[in-house]
Amino acid sequence: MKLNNNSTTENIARKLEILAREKESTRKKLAITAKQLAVTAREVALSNKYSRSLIEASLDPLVTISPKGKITDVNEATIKVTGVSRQELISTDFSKYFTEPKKALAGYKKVFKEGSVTDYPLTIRSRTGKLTHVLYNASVYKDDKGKVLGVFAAARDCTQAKKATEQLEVTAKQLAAVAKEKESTRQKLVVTAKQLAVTAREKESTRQKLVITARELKKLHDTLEKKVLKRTRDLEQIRSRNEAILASIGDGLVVVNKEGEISYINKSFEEMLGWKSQEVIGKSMVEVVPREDARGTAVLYKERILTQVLSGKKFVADLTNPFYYIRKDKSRFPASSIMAPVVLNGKIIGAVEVLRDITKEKEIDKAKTEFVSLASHQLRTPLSTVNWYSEMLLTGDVGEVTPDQKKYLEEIYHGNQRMVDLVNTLLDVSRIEMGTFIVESKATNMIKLAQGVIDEHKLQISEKKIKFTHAFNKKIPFIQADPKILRMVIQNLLSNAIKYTPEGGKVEASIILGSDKNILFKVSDTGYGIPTNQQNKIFTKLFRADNVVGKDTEGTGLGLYIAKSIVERSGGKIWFESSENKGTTFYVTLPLKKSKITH
Amino acid sequence: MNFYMKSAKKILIIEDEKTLARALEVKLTSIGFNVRVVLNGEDGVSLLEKESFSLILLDLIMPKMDGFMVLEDLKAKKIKTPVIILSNLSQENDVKRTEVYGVKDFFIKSNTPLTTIVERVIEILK
Repeated sequence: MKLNNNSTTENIARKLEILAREKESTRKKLAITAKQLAVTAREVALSNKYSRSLIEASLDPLVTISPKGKITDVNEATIKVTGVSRQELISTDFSKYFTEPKKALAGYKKVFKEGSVTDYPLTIRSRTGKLTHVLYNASVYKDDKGKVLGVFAAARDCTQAKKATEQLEVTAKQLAAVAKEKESTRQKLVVTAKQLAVTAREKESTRQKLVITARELKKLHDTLEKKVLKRTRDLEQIRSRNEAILASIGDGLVVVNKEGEISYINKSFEEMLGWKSQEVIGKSMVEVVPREDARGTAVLYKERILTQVLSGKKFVADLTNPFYYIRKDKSRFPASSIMAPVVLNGKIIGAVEVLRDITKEKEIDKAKTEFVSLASHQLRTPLSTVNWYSEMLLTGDVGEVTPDQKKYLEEIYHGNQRMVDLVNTLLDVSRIEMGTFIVESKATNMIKLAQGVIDEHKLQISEKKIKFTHAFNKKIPFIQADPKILRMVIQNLLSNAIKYTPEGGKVEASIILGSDKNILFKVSDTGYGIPTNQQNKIFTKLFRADNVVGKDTEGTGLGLYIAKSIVERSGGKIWFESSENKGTTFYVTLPLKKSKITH
Repeated sequence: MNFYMKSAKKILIIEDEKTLARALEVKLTSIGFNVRVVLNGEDGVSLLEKESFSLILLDLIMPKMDGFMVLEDLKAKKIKTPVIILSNLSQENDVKRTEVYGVKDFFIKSNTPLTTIVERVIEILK
């Protein structure tokens, strides 16, 4: 083993040397790496320091948050804004430093989920309660294997901005308000402008109207001038026409001044009184034309109506009392006249008298009266003779008559009585128609009047076996009426009812107070009635219904005509209801007027 | 009747209608009155001036002097004999015209039986 040893030893030495060299190289390499590492470490440390400085120097609050929401690191700005120390902040919940923790929580959860958020608005509440409005920009950071380590969140203080915004908003609001005011003012201005426009228009319109008015005035003025000229011509015409009228009217006309002196007379006046205009103008009417009453006594100056009219004692005098005017030749004529004062501004400045010669009217009146008188006299005289002589024969004044003679005489007497009735009725009709009835109204007891008429008919009622009843309201007032005329109405209606009701029939009379201050007189019968087709003629003079002409020959056809004339003249009404063979009811109403109540 | 006979009162009838005057005369005489008849107003007034009567039955429409004039004349002559008017006039006017003279009655002849007139005459002359 020794000989070989020599070579082995050499090998080992070489090998050792190689190893040493390799060891040295590695040492050197290590040294270099160490140096390099040191450099790198220095560089890293520097870099870290630099980053840290940047972070710390940032004015924006920066924070890192662990996936569990705990703060892992903060910068100075965060400490400042929260008023909480770094040690206190680390490992606390990020969300607890905000006014809305839930929103903050949601914010960083969103970052973990989406990787980043930008301009996430939150409000930090400092320990002292100060609020800082911030916008967060945040993103996740990961290790080299991609695992999320946490969130880096940077906040930007936007309090100033927000304030500014708020101020802007306020300003905007103020501006809006101002704008509104402006708008309102503008609108007001518009309204005012409109009003002004309207006013302007109105002014214009007024101006135009004024222009038109001026034009119209001018036109009117021209027209007026023309009218005045025309009116003057017209007045001339009217004057001449009036003169023609006054000259031609049949009535005499005289105009006097307030002293009663004649200022005008017309042609008829001249003719009536025989005076010429030039003879009487300026003279006293009362002296020139004397007046006499019906007996021929001169009417005194003071009593002359003209004097009274002029003195204002009477205003319009219509002289219905008959009087006479004396002509120039002293003859006289019956006259009627109407006088009226001429009033100017409430003062009587004269009077006008219109007079009429009523000689003819008087003659006609006289003729009417004379006719009735004559008719009465001429017709009644022979009737009286027959009446009286048959009466004397019947009463045996010239010896007894035989029963037969008596019977015949009675026929004569009865026939004559009917003639007398007819004449009386005819005279009544003519008097009603000619108006020669003198109506003397006085307080009249209608019931008493009716009772009298009933008494007169008692004989006829019992002869015909008529069941007569009456119902008179004893408390009805007296009425203003002429009893002798009113009696004719009651008499006609009652006698008709009896006359036109067959034997054994019923007749009923009643007087009650009507509904509207009048008296209602009613007569109903169960008689022949008036045929429907002749009912409209029943009040006609001399008309007699067909159904009674054969049954009764004594009617004249005048009774209802008279009754209607009287009732209507008295202001009342008359009507009837009738059906043939059943009966008739006549109604009469008469006004009460100023009557007194009976006791 | 004897009562009237004894007294023999005088009645004057002034009536132009002879038949009517006669009827009245007969009737009144038959019951005992002393009756005179004249046929117009003039005769009536002149008779009344000479004789006195208890009653006058006076017609109105007559020739020469009518009843109204008779009344006026009697009034003027202050002859105050009672008067009954017997006329065939019946207008209110006529009645009123006679009333003012204080006549006792106004009968319309055709409407009045003789007996009524006689009764009234007796009544007045009682």
